[in-house]
Amino acid sequence: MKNTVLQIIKAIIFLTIFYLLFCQLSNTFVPKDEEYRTSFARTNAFYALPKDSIDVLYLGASTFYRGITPLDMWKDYGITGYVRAVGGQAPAVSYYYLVESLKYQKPDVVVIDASTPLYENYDVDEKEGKLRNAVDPMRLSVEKFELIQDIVSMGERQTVASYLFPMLRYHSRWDELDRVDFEYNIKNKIDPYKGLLKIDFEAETIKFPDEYMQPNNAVAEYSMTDLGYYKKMFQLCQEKDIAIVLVTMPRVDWDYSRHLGTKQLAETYNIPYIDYCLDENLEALGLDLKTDFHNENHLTTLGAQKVSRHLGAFLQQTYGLEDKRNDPAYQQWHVDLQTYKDDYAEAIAQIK
Amino acid sequence: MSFTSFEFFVFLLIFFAVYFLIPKKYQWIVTLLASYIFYVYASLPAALFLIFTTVSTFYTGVLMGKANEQYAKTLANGGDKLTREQKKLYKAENKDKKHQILTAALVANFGILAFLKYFNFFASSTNSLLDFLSIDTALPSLSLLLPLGISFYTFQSAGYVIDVYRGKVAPDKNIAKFALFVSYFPQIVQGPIGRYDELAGQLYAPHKFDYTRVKFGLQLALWGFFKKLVIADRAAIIVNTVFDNYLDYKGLTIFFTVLLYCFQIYCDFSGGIDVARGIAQVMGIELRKNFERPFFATSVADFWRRWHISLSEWTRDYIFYPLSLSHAFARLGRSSRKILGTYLGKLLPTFLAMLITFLVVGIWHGANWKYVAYGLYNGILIFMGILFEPFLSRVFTQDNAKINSFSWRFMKILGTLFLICIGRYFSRADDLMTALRMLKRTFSIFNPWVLSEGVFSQLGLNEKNLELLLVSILVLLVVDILQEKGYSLREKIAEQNIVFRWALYFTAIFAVLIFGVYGIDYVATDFIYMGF
Amino acid sequence: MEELLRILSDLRPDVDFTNNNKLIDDGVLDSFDIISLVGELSEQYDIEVGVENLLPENFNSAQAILALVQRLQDED
Repeated sequence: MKNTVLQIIKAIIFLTIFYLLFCQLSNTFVPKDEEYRTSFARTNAFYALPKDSIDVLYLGASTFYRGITPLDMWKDYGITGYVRAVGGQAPAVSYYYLVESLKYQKPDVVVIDASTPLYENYDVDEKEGKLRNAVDPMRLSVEKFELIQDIVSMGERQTVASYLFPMLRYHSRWDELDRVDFEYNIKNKIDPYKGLLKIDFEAETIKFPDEYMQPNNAVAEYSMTDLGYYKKMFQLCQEKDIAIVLVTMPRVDWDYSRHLGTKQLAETYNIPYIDYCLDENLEALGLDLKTDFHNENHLTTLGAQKVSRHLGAFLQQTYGLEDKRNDPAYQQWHVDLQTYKDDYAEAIAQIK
Repeated sequence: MSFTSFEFFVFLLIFFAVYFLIPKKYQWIVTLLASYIFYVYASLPAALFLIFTTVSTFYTGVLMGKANEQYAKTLANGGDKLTREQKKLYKAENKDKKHQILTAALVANFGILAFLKYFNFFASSTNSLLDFLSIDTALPSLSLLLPLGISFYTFQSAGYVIDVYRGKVAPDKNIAKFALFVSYFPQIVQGPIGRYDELAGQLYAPHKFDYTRVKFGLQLALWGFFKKLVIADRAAIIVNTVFDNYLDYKGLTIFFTVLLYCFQIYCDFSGGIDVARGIAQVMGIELRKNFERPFFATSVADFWRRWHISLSEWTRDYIFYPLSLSHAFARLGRSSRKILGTYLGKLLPTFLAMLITFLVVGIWHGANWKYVAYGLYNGILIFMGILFEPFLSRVFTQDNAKINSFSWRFMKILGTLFLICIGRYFSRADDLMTALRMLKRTFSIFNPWVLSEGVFSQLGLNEKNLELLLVSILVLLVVDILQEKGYSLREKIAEQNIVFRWALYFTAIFAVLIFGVYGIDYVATDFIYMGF
Repeated sequence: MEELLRILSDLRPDVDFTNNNKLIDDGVLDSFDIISLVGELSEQYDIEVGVENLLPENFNSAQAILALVQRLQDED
């Protein structure tokens, strides 16, 4: 009898050590490129937020994480927001991010990126990198498991095991491990900008084509699987009494047909749709084509501030979001705003 | 489910948990269920064939048993009244009856195997012949299902019915238990081909959880995974590159690749067998060894006593011996002794029986002329070995004492390795013509500079991976040498202190997880830039 | 027994048949030796050695072989 107990104890200790080594090695083996690292840092920051402290949840792709600055909205209107976005984010990811986020936060409004994924089939095998940027930082949860199952069923090369245990995917990196892999602790880095990718003033002078956004009657065709996820997001929000806003960020790669398609979708669900590519909205923003665009489809932080000011005003007026700048419970946001301002000043100084 | 898949890992976990938690007398039922789940997961229609073989061989055994009972009753009824002649008659009748039943079972089951596995080969070869003769018909090529493990379970069940016929084992009385014998999942994919008298009793018996035994079983399986995932699947990358593009390579590049293939197939096959034996050992079941360090063989004959042992022993017991001892061959022996003299005359029927046996061994591997060549090649070499070994020994060693010397033994090992390597051209190349062409390209030039020019790090594995491959083969050699010397490594490890042991286990497990070749290779640029 | 030993040493002069009783288990005699031996035994002793007799316990030692021969002689 004593032997059996001893054996069981040994087995438990063995498995525990194995588990710890496995987790640690996983952290070493995951890629350390910038996109991957910031996806982790921004997701970690989301989990670190105080419970139920977010007014607005933003779900979208790189257009969102370069185009929306929640800390500027805090400064101007006292509303709190978080951008959960990765580069090339799949609508499936947005949906499961939404479900998962609702376990931690009770936003009044969810702002969803209406752009390319709605109209183009999302190839999960080709876009594996983008998917892993989104999935790997997630805490183990039912939503993560369901998201993984959806991804695996949409493609041919992926397996559930390799998504659940990143070590199984990245183990072949052993011959390229370097110092960063061993020193960088991906699990405890936290980004301070509430989902904004970074403070970036690197601009490209862009030009909108002559026929840009010419009105027509052709409605663009949806990508059906992705449309399905949008609809699920709408339904979930309506069930939970959360307001939805669809937004298309200013970008050259957009056209009137897709505008119509999105407008139609929004009207079906009675959702406000702000298309910043429309002439009147572009004018309202007052974007400077020399400094406000990082490239044809993304904004610099200067551009992002203009969008955020406009969008923030809309959100506050339409949804009566409380101004919490004097609420002591939100003291941390002032601290974070100061960090943002300091970094901002530093970044500005560097380009002069 | 592949042994190296995640699903199998989960399957095993659940299976072991149930196996050890339920009352021991139900263990065989759980194993039977697990075996069928495992099989059906691979293919449901294939399971029908498995069931057919199970049922047909089971009832063959039963019928033969009944025939024996009848014969015994007849003798008992007759008692002393029966003359010697009558007894002989009844005996012959019984033998005949059993012979008919046996033949029916073997024809049916081997017929199915032959048809499913070899029909298309037969058809295409026949069509080539018809074409050559300018005859305008052609046999169709059929899309045939090849049930998982059919070569293994058919041979195993056939061995059972032949053993019943020979009176070596009593017929099994429980079809459910017998179904387990036929479908036992650790061995159904790759063998070893088991014998009823060794295996059945173990399968049906209860087994308790023995900590040491379970530990050893898991270690054996871990070693198997190491061989398969770290060595075999890594070597395969180079082997595939060269064999798929053999026109780009020549000389020693090809030869060393084939040598590497020898390691690959050894690690792949014996790795899979170790996983199977390890799993069985955890359950308390001992499967026969299928490999005994084949690369230390001192002759081709010796090689086949160390390689795929369960197959070579099966063909020896059920093909070679029956043929050599048959009346037909005895007659052949007598005639050949008259023509060729005593020495050669005696050898001829044995040689013929052996050639046929190796033809079967060759063909067993697959439906292709290259396998026919492979079988014949091995058979002829063994025969020549028997003929020339005494002569060669006398030439290379001056007296009997030196026969056992290390240097002579080492030379024989190298010589055998070389011959086996050549054989591998036939088993790995796509077909016979390719194998011959590759052989020609190999001997067309002697280019030892390929080793120093880094040719081998251009064949699909970068430098680090190539180094890892060589290091892991070195580990393999050390382990095999120790085992050849008789060390039981698992026991030696068990004698060490706990820190050393656990460090070793974690190193081994993580070596497999990190260095194993599985999943999709991670290419950073694909990740970052693809699909933008 | 002497006759048997003569047959055995003719077949394999390098083996010590008087003392070795693991001829099969240790792989001293291989399948060809067995077949040749069976051929000789059938001739010398006028017996029929069937496949079912090819068991390790029948060939592991000179004594076992002799016992087999005597058994087969008695059967007919």
